[in-house]
Amino acid sequence: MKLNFHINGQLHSGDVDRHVSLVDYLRDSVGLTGTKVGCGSGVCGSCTILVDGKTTKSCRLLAMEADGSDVTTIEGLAKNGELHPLQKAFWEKNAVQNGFSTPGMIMAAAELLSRNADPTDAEIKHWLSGNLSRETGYQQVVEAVKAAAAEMRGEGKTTTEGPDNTSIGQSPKTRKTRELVTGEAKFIADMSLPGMLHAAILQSPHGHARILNVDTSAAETMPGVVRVFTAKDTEGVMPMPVIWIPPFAESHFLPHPSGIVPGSHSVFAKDRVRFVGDQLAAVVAETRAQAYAALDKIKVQYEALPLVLDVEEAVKEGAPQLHETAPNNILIETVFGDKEATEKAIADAEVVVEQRIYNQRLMHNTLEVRGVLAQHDPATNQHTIWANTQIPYPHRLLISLYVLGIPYNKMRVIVPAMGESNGCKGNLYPDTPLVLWMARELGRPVKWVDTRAGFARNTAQSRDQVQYVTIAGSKEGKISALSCRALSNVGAYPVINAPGQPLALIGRSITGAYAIPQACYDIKVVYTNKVPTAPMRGSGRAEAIFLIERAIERFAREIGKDSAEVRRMNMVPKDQFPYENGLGWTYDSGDYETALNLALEKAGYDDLATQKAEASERNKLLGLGIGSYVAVAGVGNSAKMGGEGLMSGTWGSSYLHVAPSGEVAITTGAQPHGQSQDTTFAQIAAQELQIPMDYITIQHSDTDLPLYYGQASYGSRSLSVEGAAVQKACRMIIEKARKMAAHLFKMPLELIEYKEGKVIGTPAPEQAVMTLQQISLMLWFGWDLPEGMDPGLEATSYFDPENFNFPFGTHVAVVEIDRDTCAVDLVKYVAVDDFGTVINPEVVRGQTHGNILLGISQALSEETRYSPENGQVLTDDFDTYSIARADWIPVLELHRTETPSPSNPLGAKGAGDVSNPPVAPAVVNAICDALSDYGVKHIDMPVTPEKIWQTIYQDKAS
Amino acid sequence: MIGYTYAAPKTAGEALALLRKNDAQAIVSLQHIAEFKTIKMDDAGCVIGSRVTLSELKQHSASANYPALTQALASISDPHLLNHTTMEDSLNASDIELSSVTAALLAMDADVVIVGDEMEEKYAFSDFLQTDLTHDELVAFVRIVLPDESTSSYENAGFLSGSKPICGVAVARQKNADNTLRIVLGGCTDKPVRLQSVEAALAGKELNASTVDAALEKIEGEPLTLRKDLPIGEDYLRHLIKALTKKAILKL
Repeated sequence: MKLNFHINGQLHSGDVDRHVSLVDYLRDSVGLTGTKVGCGSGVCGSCTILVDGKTTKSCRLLAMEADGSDVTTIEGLAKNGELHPLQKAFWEKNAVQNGFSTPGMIMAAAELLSRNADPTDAEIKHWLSGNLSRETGYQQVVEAVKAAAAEMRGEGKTTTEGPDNTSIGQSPKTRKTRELVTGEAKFIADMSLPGMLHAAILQSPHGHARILNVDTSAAETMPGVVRVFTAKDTEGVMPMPVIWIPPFAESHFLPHPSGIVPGSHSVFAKDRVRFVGDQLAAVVAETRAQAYAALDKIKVQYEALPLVLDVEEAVKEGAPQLHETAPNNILIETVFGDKEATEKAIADAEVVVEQRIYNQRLMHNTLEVRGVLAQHDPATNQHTIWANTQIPYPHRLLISLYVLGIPYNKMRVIVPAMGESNGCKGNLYPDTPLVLWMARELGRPVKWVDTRAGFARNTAQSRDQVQYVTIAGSKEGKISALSCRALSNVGAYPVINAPGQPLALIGRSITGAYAIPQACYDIKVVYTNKVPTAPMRGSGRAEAIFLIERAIERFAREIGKDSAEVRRMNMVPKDQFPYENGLGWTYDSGDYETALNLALEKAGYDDLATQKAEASERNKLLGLGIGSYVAVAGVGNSAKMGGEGLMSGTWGSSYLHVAPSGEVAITTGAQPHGQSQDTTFAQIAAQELQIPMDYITIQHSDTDLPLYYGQASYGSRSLSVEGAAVQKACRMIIEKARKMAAHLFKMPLELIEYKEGKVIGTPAPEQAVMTLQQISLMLWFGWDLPEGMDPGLEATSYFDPENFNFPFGTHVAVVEIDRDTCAVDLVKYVAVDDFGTVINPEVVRGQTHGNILLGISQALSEETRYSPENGQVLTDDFDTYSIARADWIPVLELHRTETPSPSNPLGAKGAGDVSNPPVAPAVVNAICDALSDYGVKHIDMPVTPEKIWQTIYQDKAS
Repeated sequence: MIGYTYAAPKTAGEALALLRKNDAQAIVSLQHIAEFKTIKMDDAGCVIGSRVTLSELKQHSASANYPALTQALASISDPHLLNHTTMEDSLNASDIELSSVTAALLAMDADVVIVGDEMEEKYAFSDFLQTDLTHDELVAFVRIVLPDESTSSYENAGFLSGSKPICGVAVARQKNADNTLRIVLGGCTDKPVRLQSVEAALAGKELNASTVDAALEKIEGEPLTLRKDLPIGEDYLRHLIKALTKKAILKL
């Protein structure tokens, strides 16, 4: 039908099919890609626009329903180049990280402010509860909406200008943010190339089945279909590799034809599917709709096989076997620590407490799904992919060497603006090389962007570990031993770094912030018919800290002591650093007790009894929970990582080039996806080089940039490793500039000072002075160089820390539980974190909010559920997989102490994901505290009202 | 795309004329019928046009007279849903997202007015739920009698899932000698249902925790058909129904 409506003030006419949603029409037909698609079912709010001024989820409206209306998208909010107050405020208040959810949030807030000029925090949170933010959290969003409201009332002024002081410890405005608040940034789904085709990939409806026949004939005749590919077409494509092989453990990997590394799953399952994300066929068509329509016509005959989803079932005799190479479905089996000595210490202890814990299976559930756009140029044999991956350089190597067998130098990986990751985009998935391979086969660019339901089946999930924990000690509270026997569910195949999380990251971390004389971790990593697991924000440390913080709480209750006091008694004292924790980590620096005391003071710990009594009068059970933590970060020392089994160097890298104009370009090995390295690394360089930050450009996201290798961003490593490499490159530049100046000024090197962006010969500072730009020009000419010096003011630096770094802190949660409904209300949250030296406090604050949000969500609601009948993922949308919304979260009170790390010259410790681990235990400890009168000792996450009700009423009744 | 016609009539008469043609290829938008988009208050109560959005209703002063409706609307936080759901949509008893409003309307004994070919007919909402409209009939209005002050309430459990209410209870006191209650359960049932055994047990009684607890025992005898697709187990759901009903009643 014919459509006539206004879009951003302009009359628009067009034809539209009656089935097309408004968001698809705006994005595909009008080209307004600032409106994002997150779920397609109206739950996440990423597609929010205004229709006649009303908040509208454009995936839930047909385009034809907009006929005659006035549509405003994020692109229409700024007027005459001037950002809307909301856009400015989101930027100013650091309410933007990766920016994927930002346009929808801003548009929803726009209607709120048109109705309510001065909304309260509660009103804003209520209004925005239809807009999800996974990694950014909600607090800065609320602050931004209030700031914008104030400006619109004429009572305040937001600005796009940052403070003049950009030095370390200040918070200049984040870079590359304007394009995120205006919707101009191009994410993978927003990209297109001339002649581009679209792919759709068929997944298995069975968790475990034999493939009898794949019939693509009907699909091949569907409109627009160019080709349908199946396993018979991809004989020459190798399976995914695994590049983490622990040398100290018994392991049962899958073979890989390279003979260099083990293998994982193939781009298409050949004769058997082992989980519902196993791929069977791909359709490539002229449009996305045609590709998905044809996908429905592929007929596959299966013979269902017995399933195994539970790790404890999978290791039993007679369980369905997933791989011939792995008897009893065990991928890896090993022990960390001295098991015998730990068992003896437990046997000798006065008090022993045991607890089984199931750290549930989570989904990363980024609002942005994964996607790939690939192109092959037959004239040059150049292969290029654009993908929303955390690890472009490893993609280049792994795809070229291990999967497609193409020249490394003909492979380029580019990362566009990237939505959230939470860790799931740090893996190599079979779809990625498949899309590139199909583009080469067809001679046309091919794009594949997943669906929300597809994501639930093909994208790695996380956690899913059963733990049998034993903690032992004296009646006074001194802990003497900790043991954990664990089974980790790795899913149907190992991902590239599968062993990392269940082995070292948990196994060496289980003693947390405490000095425990004997500890051991006995682990089996087990195959099941579930989606493969991979690291997720807080990876490994989250499982470890949860178990120790629950265990110490249980122990304290058992001996009738204050759990805060038991923590104090056992914490590593501040004069004991560096501290060997007995499991392989050397804690670098810290003052754990100060953080604990500060958190308790801020949470009103001394006043707890009064708070409980007051809540009880309102029919509420109040509880306070503590989560203290130490989290390894800053991967890492390459040799140590090699010792763990990672087949990769993990050094930071940086290439710095000073142009003859004086402009500085720094290529970093980091891979930003919301962490603001463009800003923080420029702050480091500006401080080191003593030049304005505006002179400095940070480059990344393209393997054709002048950098040998980039180990990327994960596990809170960017600043302390890649940032340290930037600092080192700056110092190398200064050194070269000084040497050049010494030569030109004919002075000894020790008399050349570098100050305020200039080299100065101290004996004659008025005459013997050159700016960095002048020196770079002299080096550009290279007419007169010191002996042995090459021209050009550039440096390549590498930084490999001698040790990891160990951020720490204590979080405190206060909950109220309704006695009747058992609903949990998080009423207070205090976090004290120590990330060492902080470059940009506002950036770190934002990351901390994201960590806390995820932890609350894990504690209270998130859980991936599977059908026991067919292994299907049941939680494949945002209704069935419930993540924390704005109105769940109280004001998060954040505090920091600052203990520099000796592991890097910046003194920085990780921050990106490390403050997640204490959150879930703090919340669960609070719930168990609230329920202590009922004798509740433990409830597995997610602690839903139903589980609480069952525990305190039903179990008692039975 | 080819073959479909689209029309957006401005009056109910025009819309009915188009609908009478019964053309399967015709798309008739009811968005622009002004008479269906008004809210009117008079001494007898409130008349809400079928195309009035929940957002418009929430902002209208009339809704303040109906606490159950106000509280039900407040439980819907997603502005999209409020902006794009009409009164007529909320009469769809099987839509769990709108179950709060549906339950409130049934508790308040709302009437639904249907227009068709030279006819206008009024149904009690409970009867409307049993009625199938023909292709040339339209819901015109919902009428709610003006109640006494603060005689209705709504409670729901909104903390359980992503965005949908799982269980909600609306309660309204009726203007009769016994001040009997209409208690309606929604969300967890296929359609909103009255808890008549509890209503009967409370007839003429003072409302306090013990009388309500005693009356709630009668729920066991209610032939409730609970939805099977909820993310909670039946035992807890049955507990919630009681807990929420009690809260809603004691809030009156």
